[in-house]
Amino acid sequence: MSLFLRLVVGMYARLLCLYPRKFQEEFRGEMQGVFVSTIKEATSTGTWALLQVIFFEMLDLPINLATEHISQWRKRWFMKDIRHRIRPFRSVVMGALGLMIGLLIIMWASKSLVMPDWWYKGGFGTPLAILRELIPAALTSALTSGLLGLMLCLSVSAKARLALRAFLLMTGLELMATLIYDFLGRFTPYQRFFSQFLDGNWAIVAIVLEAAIFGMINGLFTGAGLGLATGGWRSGWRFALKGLLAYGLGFAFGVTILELWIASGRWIGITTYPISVVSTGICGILAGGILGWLWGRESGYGSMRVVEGNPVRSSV
Amino acid sequence: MKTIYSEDFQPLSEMTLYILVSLAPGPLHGYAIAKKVRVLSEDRVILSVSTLYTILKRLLEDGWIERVGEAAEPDESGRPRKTYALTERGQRILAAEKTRLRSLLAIFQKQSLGEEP
Repeated sequence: MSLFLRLVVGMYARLLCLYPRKFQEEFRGEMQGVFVSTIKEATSTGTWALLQVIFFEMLDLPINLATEHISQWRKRWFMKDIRHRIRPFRSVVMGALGLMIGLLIIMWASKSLVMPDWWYKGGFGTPLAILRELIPAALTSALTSGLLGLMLCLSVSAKARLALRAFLLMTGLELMATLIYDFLGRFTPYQRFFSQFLDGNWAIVAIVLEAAIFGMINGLFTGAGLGLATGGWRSGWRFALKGLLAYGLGFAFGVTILELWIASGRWIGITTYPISVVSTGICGILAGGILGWLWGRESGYGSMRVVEGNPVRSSV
Repeated sequence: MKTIYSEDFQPLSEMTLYILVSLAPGPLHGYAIAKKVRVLSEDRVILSVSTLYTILKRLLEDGWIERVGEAAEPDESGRPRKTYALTERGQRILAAEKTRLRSLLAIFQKQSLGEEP
């Protein structure tokens, strides 16, 4: 081999060292061998062909290097945080528990003064009065979503880093959902539209529909937070829709049960609060369970290979 | 675990398809795959070494191909050449892609014969 070719091969070998360590261990020797064979064959064809091959290889290498590093980075970022095989059943149980507990805390908070006394003292005008009312409700609601994220991460024994990411993103996005829903109630005819049906034959339908919309708005943001935290942007979009579906169904069913229970008349003598607690718990179990199932089933990792090298989906 | 069907992977990228087709008759080492792809595509698809191994790595991870041993002749530096072969999953995916392409071709043929609107 001429000095020029030895230099080229040496340079190529050096460049191969820029691949991630794992990739190098597996393919570097082979790649070097194939490169040498390709160069030798091109040499026999002529100088022009040789230069073309070298140019082509050198141009392609950085692109593939970058691709490989991104792929490794994605795996490190999303996959190493999980310690064992995903078990959808565990995710269902933990999701159901997480959301149920969270919603019950919201119920408790709605009847209790969760902030210090000075918080509720008036004298700041209407905007601050709204804030005083809104912030405790929004915070408890947002923390509920964060709790769901923590429980789901716990179901896969995720590392603290992933759990924290899920908690923060889900809490933050749920906070937005709460504010949006509150905005709808205060500043749009949304509430008025539903309240006109409350005394008629369509009361149950209106109540269930309103609950479903409430669930869908919250599910959209909570799901987005979950997907974003555990699988990146694409997963975020997909889980936003899955969250919408899970919460929409969960809340619609939960409230239907409550309304049917009330309509049956068996609750006479019991205050509505315990019934609401049970109904809210059912909403949480259903919505959290469905979201947990969807997440566990797809492991929240979208197109990524998660389970012991067994592909879920391929992007090839 | 979600069930994945062969059709879920369609359409395959051209390079992936050529690599799978080149491995269909039997196991090949990396250099032979690159050469065969070039021949099959009549010099239209030329795989650089880095692209070839990026795709091979992905196919290995996805379980479409597997390493089956070492070729009889070593490479230029005397290292044994590892050979790759299609797995059962790879064969299924390739068969599904063939079916898809055949049906497309049938449509084109019908259109060229004026049988389709």
